[in-house]
Amino acid sequence: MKVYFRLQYLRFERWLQESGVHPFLGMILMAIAFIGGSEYAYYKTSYAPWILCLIAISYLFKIGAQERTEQLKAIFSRDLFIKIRLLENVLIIIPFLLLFALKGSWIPALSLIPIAPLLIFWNQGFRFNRTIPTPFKKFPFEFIIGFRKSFPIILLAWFLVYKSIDVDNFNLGLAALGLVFLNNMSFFLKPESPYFVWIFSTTPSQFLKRKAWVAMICNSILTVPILVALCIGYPENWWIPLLIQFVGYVFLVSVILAKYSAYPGEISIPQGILYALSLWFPPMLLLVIPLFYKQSIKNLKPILK
Amino acid sequence: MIQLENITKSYGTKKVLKGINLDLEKGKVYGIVGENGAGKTTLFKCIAGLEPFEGDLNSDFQPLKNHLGLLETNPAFLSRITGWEYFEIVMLRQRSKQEDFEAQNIFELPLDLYAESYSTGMKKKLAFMAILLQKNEVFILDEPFNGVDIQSNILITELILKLKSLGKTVIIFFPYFFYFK
Repeated sequence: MKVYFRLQYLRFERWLQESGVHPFLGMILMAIAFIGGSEYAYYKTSYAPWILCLIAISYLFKIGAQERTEQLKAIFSRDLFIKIRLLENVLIIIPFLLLFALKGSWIPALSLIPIAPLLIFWNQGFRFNRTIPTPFKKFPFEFIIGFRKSFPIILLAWFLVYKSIDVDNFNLGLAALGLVFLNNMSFFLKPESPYFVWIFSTTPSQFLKRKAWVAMICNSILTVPILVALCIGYPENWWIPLLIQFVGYVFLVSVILAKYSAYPGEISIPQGILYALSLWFPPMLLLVIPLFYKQSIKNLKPILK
Repeated sequence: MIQLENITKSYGTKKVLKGINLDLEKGKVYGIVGENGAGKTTLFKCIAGLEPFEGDLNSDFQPLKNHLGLLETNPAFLSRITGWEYFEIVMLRQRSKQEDFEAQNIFELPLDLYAESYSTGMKKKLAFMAILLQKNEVFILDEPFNGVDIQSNILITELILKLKSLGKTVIIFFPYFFYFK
């Protein structure tokens, strides 16, 4: 077990190194991001402990992915497997539990404690075996995959818009629009195999333009109904959702550029920090977009020449 | 005709390909055999333009990649994409009207299902069908018989011979000697 966790630590260090950050600095940055992000969430909303609780549970699900679980089961005895998975889950929830204890959020903390061991036995082998239809049939592939992975979030956002108009809470509607944009941006975080770039017979700049154009069309299919509902529901504030829509398009294009600026690797930590800062302070995009564009062209040239 | 002149490729200080010269003609099937780690896949990637290299690669087809069908040893598949959608993605290069893929489903694959749920052999057949649909002039097949059942092996062999008779160039990479009539 000691060897296993030493190897996981080594993998983590290597991941940080490959992301362009010294491991020690990376760990400090991650701790700062966790504490800073949590403080900000607590400052912004009373739902912060539950949001953080959901983040912790999503990590528990991620680490218990079927393929990984099967590999561990194949390598280790049942007892050792349970010990390893239990320790992994405990290590994940410890920072959250400490935070909840400091903040006095006892109910989320007490909810998280039994979930961590129980999720070891959760069978993630179950898959909804039906092909989920999407409205993006003619568009390649980010939105098809993303929609299938996250359609409950989109349904939730549409429901929130309905509730926003029903209970006359404009901010709730705007938050739903923002949620769909954030969800759609997440479709572009993972790099695809170079084969799926190679098959395009275009120049890098045409490729990026096409990606951006298709993303905006597909995004519009999901966000325009929300936009229209908010403009009709709150005619006096019609310009606010329109502004969010416009800013959302800019962020969407910039996340595509961020992805290909690191291609074929994943977005590195420095790039991620740069992008997160632009989300927080959008005028930075004026600097970041040309930078990412230039780097993307450089990375795509060898594959699309 | 494709000409490879003095193709050299290094990873750091390790030279993987040393001055490869090849003339690949139309209507012929070429087999490239080498042990694991000999550089077959590197050569495959250099011809396809997926890896930079030193030397010259000349072709009648310009650009070569627009006429090239690639079958990788383990073809890349995206999650939650059906067989149909995989074809649509691969056919993006053609920019022509979509064809009736069902009529050309020679391996009788369940194209409505997610491709990631296919077996190893079915994935390979799907990828092979896709490059046939692209109507390429040159085919590079990296271990095309690996993981595929005997009936499909026979069908793939027949298809390769058909491609040859249609004047296509086929380059096959093997990790071992393979009898090919």
